[in-house]
Amino acid sequence: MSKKTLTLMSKDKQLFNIEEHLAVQSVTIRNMVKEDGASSVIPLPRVDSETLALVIEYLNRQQAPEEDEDYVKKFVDERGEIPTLLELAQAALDLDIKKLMDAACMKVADLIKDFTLEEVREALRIENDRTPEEEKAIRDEFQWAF
Amino acid sequence: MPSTSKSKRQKTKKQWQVMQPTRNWLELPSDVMASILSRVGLHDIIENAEKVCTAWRQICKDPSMWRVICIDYPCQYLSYERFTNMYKLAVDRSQGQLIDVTIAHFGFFGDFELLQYVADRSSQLRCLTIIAYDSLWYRSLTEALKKFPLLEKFSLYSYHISKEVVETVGCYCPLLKAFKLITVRSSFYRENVARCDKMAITIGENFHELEHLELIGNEMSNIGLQAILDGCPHLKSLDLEMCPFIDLKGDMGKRCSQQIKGLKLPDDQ
Repeated sequence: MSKKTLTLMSKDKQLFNIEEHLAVQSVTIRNMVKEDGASSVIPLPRVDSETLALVIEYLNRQQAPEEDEDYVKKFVDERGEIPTLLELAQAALDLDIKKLMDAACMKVADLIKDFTLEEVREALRIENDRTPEEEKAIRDEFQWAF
Repeated sequence: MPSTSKSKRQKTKKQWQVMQPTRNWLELPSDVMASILSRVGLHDIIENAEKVCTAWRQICKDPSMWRVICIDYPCQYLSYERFTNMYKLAVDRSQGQLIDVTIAHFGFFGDFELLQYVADRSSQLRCLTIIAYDSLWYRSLTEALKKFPLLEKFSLYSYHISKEVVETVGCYCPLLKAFKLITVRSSFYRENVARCDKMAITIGENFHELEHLELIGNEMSNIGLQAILDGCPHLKSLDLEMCPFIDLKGDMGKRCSQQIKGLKLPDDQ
């Protein structure tokens, strides 16, 4: 197998090298390689260097297939901060790495599951922008739930 | 390299705030948010997620969020009415796009009603899983199966799986590719072998196009297995875990491994 290396560039213009046969776990990269050989640098305009370093670490993992699932779970568990996980999920979406995307989203879902409404808003810095009409619509729709 | 915060898994909200960069997470692609919200579970969506903000409510109302629904009784206390309404809402929101449904605690808390509700609104359904702990569900299943003509995968967990159930599935689900029948039991009896062989023969007679078959905890013998191998020439995988009366030591074992790529044997063989 050829050990061709690809270069990925983060949003903040840092360069990361990775062997092509590992990089093609990303469907996005695989398609690029198929199309034009992806000889030059592959830019990832939405992925910062911190997150890209994590993605590279993930792609470089040397796991036996039967242990891979556990590894992916542990990988996201160890990065249990919501902001990191959200960045990771977005990077996995852009690069189309399904396993990583699913695991990161699952972890965030687990974390926010037991939060109250206010805690979710606080953790994700989301403002409550609902209008009184919307509040009423929700109340009407879920009348049976209260 | 930029410095990475190494603080592991902080538990309290306060720490989150300290960590939080000024990024507005609503700018995340909605695919990411939808993927997360689809994993928090129906109960949490209705209790919370949907009320967080307008964007989340829109995501939660999108039919694509509701293509897979697992109707299981949640651990929190819910009244029967609330439980049923919650799942009806989920089915309504799928707007006919439901493709995969799991119904557990069937015959319990009025789940007959929910299966019927799903059946009347989900003609696109591809995968159905039923976890049934009594036999009262059979008629209701028959009625429902008539309305799932596109079903490709059917899984049933039960104490007892009869020839009639297999016939019904064969009759109404012509596109079925994967059939999973799990008998939930802890002890096995010789006197059940003839009945289980009949069930297996019915599989052979009805599912010539079947590609994947799991018969876990089944009391059939080699007679039943032979009927399956003869009747289902396209089988790619066959799972015979916990089938104590199958004997694969002789020719039958050879035939199985020649005919089927993905073969899972009973535990001791």
